[in-house]
Amino acid sequence: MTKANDAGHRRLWWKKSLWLLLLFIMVFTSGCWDRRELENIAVVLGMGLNHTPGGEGYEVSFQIVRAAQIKSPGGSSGGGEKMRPFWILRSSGPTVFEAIRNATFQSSRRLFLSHSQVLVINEAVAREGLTPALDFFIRAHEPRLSLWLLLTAEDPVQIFDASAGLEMVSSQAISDLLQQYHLTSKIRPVRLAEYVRLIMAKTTANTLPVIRTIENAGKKEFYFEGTGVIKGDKLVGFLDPIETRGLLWVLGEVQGGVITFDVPGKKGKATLEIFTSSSTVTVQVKADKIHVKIEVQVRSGLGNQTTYTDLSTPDQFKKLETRQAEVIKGEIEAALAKAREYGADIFGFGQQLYGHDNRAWQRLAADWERHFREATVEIKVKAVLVELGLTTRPVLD
Amino acid sequence: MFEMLWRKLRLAHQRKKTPVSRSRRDLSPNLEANLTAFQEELGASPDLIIRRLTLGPRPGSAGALIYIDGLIDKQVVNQDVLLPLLNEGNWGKGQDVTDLLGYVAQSILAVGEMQTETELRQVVQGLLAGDTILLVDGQAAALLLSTKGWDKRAIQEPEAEQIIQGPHEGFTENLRTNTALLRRKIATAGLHFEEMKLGQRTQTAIAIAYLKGVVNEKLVEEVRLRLKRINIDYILDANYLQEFISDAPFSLFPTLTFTERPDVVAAKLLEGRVAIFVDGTPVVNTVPALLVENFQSPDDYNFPYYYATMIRWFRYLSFSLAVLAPALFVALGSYHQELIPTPLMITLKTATEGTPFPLAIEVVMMGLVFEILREAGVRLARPFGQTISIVGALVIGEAAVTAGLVGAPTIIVIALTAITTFVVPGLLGPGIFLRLIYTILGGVLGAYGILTGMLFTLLHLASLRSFGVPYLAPLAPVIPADLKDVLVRAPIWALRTRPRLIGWPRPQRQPFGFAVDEEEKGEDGHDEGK
Repeated sequence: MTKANDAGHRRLWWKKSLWLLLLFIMVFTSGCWDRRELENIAVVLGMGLNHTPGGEGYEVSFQIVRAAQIKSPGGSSGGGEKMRPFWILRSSGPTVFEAIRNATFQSSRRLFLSHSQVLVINEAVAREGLTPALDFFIRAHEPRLSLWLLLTAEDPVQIFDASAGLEMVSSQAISDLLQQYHLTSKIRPVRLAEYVRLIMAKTTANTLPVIRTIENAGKKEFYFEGTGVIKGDKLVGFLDPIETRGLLWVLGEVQGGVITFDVPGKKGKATLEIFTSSSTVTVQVKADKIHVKIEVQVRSGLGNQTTYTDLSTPDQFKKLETRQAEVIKGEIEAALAKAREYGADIFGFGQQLYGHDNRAWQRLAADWERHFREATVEIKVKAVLVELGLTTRPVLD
Repeated sequence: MFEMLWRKLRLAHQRKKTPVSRSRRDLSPNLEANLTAFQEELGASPDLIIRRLTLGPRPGSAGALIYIDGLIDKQVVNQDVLLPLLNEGNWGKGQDVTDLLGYVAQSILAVGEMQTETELRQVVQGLLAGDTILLVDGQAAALLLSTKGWDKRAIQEPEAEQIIQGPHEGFTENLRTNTALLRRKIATAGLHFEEMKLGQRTQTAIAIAYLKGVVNEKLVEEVRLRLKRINIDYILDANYLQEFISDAPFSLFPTLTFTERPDVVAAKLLEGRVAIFVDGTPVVNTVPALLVENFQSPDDYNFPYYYATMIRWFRYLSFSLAVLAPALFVALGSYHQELIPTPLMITLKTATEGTPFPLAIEVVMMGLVFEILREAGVRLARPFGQTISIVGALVIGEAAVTAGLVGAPTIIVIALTAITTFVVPGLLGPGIFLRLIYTILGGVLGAYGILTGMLFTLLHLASLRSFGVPYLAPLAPVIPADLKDVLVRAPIWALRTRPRLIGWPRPQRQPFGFAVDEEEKGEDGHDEGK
């Protein structure tokens, strides 16, 4: 090997080493260093938002899992008094973020918000406007947009304090329950992401489910009841469970549930189980008058009857179908009446128009509340009964 | 960087290399002088047997039979060498022989393989290899009689490479037995062996085997070249060669594959690879080696294709788990808790509650404990085996969790890794090493660290070559035709072509379909050998 060649190799070697060094620096100095041990974090499952008792500022409450209290199989938790598997913490500050940071004065472990399932908001906060309250949850990287939003008239802590039923922690129970809304279709669960989506669609009003506590055999339990209507970012009124379903029919979100009514011409009731439903909403503008056509299609089955008549004849089926359509139409009309009363477009008619006739929307959006109130709405419900269950006729027949 | 270092090392090595040239020493015509010379060379070893005898028609000339006790077959020496030599009746017709050795070799000895040597050192070499030496006074030559015979291990199934179905024989420490085992698998004249001696002191016999007509001749030439360049005084195992002739001596990944199974070597030769046998070890190296070879097992070809394919994918999965599971566990547990589903997260948290060490330390510690247990299990005398399992399973596993030193999930992860590591035995070393590195990276930088580590590993793998063949082939570069034995194990009849980069001199294994006419019989490798 000649000398020149040797020098060349050395240069090459230096060059290679330099590149490698640069690569290492690049790799090991970027990224964020936020190691936190599993055992050193406080896993928050639920959060509540309230005003501080004094007035200004927010009080944030947390439901934190107390992992040591969750019985691990194998580890026998001998002596010591059994604590509840969660810990409720209240913290306040002028803004939500500061309130959350102030929690470190009380909690020995850093609060970890990524696993939060629910955010329970006091109605008073909602009446004043949700945007300042929710800003942190949308902005920060830890809380997720999949957070379930709930309204309550009580102190959110009361909800966390309620019995969790089969679950360990009530927040988990609430989250699981919301995901089964289709069993009744009388709640409309809303995630933070959905709320944000709708608030950005200027004309559409948001709805949030309402939760409260009830006393049951001396125990406090939580209970869902109806829906709060958020116009802009302010709570303006409520829908009852039936009206909530009226709303869900229009949105095409009824994917189950039962519907009970008197059997036409007979003594007794019939309960139909809804299998699927779909809806088509068309919004037309003629001379700045809005005309809305709502078509709902429902497939359901006979689930329960309290009459002694055989309902399984084509004739009876027709009657049941017609009656069911009327009931559904009634539910939708009830929801519509409330929405008109509040002047809140919870059905998203405006959004529909935005997509199909944008020019008209541009023109009408500014005064959408009035246009929405004055809109003519035509409701068509087509109900089909498809089955009777495992029996063909009542056993007594 | 490593390459540079390697080049320098090699250069230094070449400079230092001084030709080992001791002067040539011929045998003398004087028998006594020769015997003294032998004793000088070999010392007064008690296993050196010198049997003096008188040869030829009366009065006869003095002669000597020399051999090493234990290296020769006594039966052969006594019956086929000594007996005919001492039988006077044999000398009847050879009244006036001048070349007594030549006459003995031609007419008297009942030994198949023999040769005449005149150089002392060559004769000594033969003696040490198990030959019996015949010297006659007055002739400056020696007759080397092949009477090799020593105690050897029986053919057994290799313990490290067990299979369920298929041949259960394995190589032994005896080179000749091994070559015979291979011949029994491939009965074609195209199977060639080339032998050489390596190791200045051990004089270990090395054999290269290949299938002429299928193998790439340049590959054989390269193997020969690399073997010839080896300058070492002792070779005790195939790994000695491996570390010398490997393309990437510093790499974690083996660029030569090794096996103790004749069926595996046969299959590899039939794909166009070259096998390197080393006398004294049952381990046989084959080159070129690909990464994917480590995931193939002889059982793959002994079971139906769907089962083999499934099992192969389990192996890929197992290796990924073995390398990544602890790292991902650490990364998820100490950086990315938000990625764990909530109920699982709470369960994990419950289990790790109160453990004093960070997760990364826990995992690395328990991983080390496991590796030590494994090593102890390998080295231990068998009767102690139970102690290890009790101490390992009960004391370290159970007690550590009960005492709250280590979380139960850590033990589960370590146990999972422990099992999965052994699914791919060929990559045991890289697997354990990478696991440790990834775990540390996962503990220091989280998933980002693991990804970085994987990226570097991939870069390295992509840069590797084994005897000219890209190590990641046929995955990178993608060779669609070869994926039939990588992503799946196609039915045997569909494995029509040899690996493209290895068996290209004769790419087709068999024609499509069943019919075999006379014309196609000529497809056998040796008929058209180049």
